[in-house]
Amino acid sequence: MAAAVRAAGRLPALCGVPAGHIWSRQLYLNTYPTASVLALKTVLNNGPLSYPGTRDNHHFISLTRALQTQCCISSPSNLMGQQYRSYSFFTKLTADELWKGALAETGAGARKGRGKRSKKKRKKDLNRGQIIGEGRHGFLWPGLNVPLMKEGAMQTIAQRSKEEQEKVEADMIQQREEWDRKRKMKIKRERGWSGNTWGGVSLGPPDPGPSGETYDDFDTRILEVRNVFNMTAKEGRKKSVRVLVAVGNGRGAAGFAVGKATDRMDAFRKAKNRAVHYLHYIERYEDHTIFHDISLRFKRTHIKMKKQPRGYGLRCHRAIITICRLIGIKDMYAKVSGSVNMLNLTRGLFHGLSHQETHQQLADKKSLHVVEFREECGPLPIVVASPQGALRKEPELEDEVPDIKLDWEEVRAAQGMKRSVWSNLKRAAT
Amino acid sequence: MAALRTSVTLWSLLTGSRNSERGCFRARIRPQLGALLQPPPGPCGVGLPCRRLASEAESGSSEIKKPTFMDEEVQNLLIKMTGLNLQKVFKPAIQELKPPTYKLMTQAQLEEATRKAIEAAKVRLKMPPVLEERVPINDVLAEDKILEGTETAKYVFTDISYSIPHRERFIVVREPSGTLRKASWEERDRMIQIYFPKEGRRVLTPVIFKEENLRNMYSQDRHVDVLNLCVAQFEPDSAEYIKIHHQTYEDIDKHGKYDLLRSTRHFGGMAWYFVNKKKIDGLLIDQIQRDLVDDATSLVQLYHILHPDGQSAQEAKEQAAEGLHLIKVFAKTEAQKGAYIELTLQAYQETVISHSAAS
Repeated sequence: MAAAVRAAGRLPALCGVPAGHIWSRQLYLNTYPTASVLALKTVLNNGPLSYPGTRDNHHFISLTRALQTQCCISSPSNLMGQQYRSYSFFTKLTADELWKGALAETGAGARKGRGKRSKKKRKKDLNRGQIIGEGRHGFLWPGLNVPLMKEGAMQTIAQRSKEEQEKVEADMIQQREEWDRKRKMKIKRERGWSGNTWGGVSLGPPDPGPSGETYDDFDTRILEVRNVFNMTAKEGRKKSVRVLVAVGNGRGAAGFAVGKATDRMDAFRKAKNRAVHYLHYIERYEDHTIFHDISLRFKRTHIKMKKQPRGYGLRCHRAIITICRLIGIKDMYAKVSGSVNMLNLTRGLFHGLSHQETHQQLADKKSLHVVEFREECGPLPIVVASPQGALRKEPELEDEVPDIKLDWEEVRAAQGMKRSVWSNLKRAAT
Repeated sequence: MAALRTSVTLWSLLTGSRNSERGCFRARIRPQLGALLQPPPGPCGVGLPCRRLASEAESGSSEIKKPTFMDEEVQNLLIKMTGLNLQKVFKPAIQELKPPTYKLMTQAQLEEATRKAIEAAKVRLKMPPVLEERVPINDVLAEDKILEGTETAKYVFTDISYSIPHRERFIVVREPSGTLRKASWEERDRMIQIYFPKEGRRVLTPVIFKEENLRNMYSQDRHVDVLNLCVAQFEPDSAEYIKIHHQTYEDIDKHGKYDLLRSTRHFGGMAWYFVNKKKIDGLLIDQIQRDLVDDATSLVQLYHILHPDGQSAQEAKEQAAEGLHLIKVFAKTEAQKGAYIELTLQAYQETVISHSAAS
């Protein structure tokens, strides 16, 4: 009994605080079995009228539901245990400080990556939607709820009818529900190479430079996001996010860079803005493919790129597809063997592509015409490049058996000795 | 059968022009398979050789020798008019693409390669034959009334020996009524296609040769494709072949799309058709507008060869006209749109003068 009275005595204090609700200071016997008083104290609710915040934390829900059932809206005769304290623990601190305590962002649990992702709570502004003057009994105060002057005459204090008041309160509840729903709505993140990975995700154009230059036609794509750790003296393992990003405008200018920061978004930003400072211009043949086959080895990564006709698409490693799309290459075949380290792959690719020999350069080097023969055009010779200087008279020496190094894998595939389920697999276009 | 044999030999005798001798010889040696570009032996129809024989008989008395499509000078004129635009002849064909190959060449090698390409182009531009429409076959070999009522379907007997030319194959039909007759030309074509399929030819006529589909093709400017399909599907002397070709030429003339067939193998046939029908005005105007005055003069020369009794031919011979003057003579005398031709000639001359003045 005494405990119940104490509980009853404490309840209204919870509800008192900044809201301008008019509370009757009537104490009623609290017959409901409630949670412990300690638990009650931690409730931060501006009034029993407010709908409990739809948090994941079931303590809150159960508590607020308990409060609601206790402090329900009905005629004064049916009011159960409506407690009202004008001065309590919750009135001694600001909302920010109270939230800081409740969210527990700092503390041992948050450090060293111990915090679980599901335990993260979000701050909610409880004063949102409150109008000074709105209360449970529905009085209309000119200057607060209701305009001060109406047709030049000062209005008097009035009261809404019961039905109107109920409607107003129902509207308020609905509005709060909608806010909560919007808050909870998860925005779908753009899918990169696969569901949960950051590879292939676009970051939009890089930020404008200091002298006002914009990079609107450049698109950035993330190639790799990796959590790297560094041992420090004070904290021990310190996590840092390392991001490899490529930018390109689809017309031959492209570049890549690495950005590192503690926060992921900061790392994205650093990498993006750094990549624009390291652009390569890559020559393309007829704007859709490379000039000739390239096979290179960069550190331990072997890349073999082949020139393909229009309509072939990009049949390459997914990172190479992303980079080629940024450059503007539309048809190519590439095979990556050996190490697939993303950094070395990108570096090797850019090195190989920027050191291509265009047809004009070849013609100038050999001082001969570069003539193209296409299958679909029959025996017609198409002169693609002529030397700018003199044309030499002696023809190029060609052996019957060309003296080039053959690739064993290619030979095996050509001879039909290769049995692989992955060759000639039907994939999505480009 | 013996009667057939003799009729065949008589036929070979009748085709006694200098071309057909070679043609018959070729026919004996090589079966007629896959020869899209080669004219079949016996280029002249059955009707002409009689005239030829008759004319040879009376060669001394008159000089009327109707020039054929395959005459040397006619062919030379037609080839000159067709032109040789390598880019158009070797237009990229719609096929599975492979990456191109590159070679480093000197100027001499480049010219050699171009020369080879021109020769290949000339082979591609070999004109398909223009023949008279074939006479329907109505030859009954036997009438066996006792077989009437025994069968419900026609039976077609085809001689499928490999080394007989298709024109000389025996294909006979036994009707349910008991008559044994020679197969008609359509039945012959169908049977030969079934037993000796030729690439690009279907047994049943493709739907594309229906009126509305042809109209569609014409509206998309695909006259070349229509003509190529027609050459692949039908025999050169069949009715449908001639009809479709004439229809295509008429459509081209109506819209003035002569340039579509330039540098293709069908240009000669089109020019021959127009000259025979005496409707060369549109073609002439088009040629003059594109500054192809040599082609225009050769067209008028061809016209004079084919119609030597006409007014313009006589006048040209009198005045010994050359070049532009020849065209003017033609425009004044026999042309339907003579005024237009003279106007275009004038405009051309003005441009020539202005160009020469400027340079």
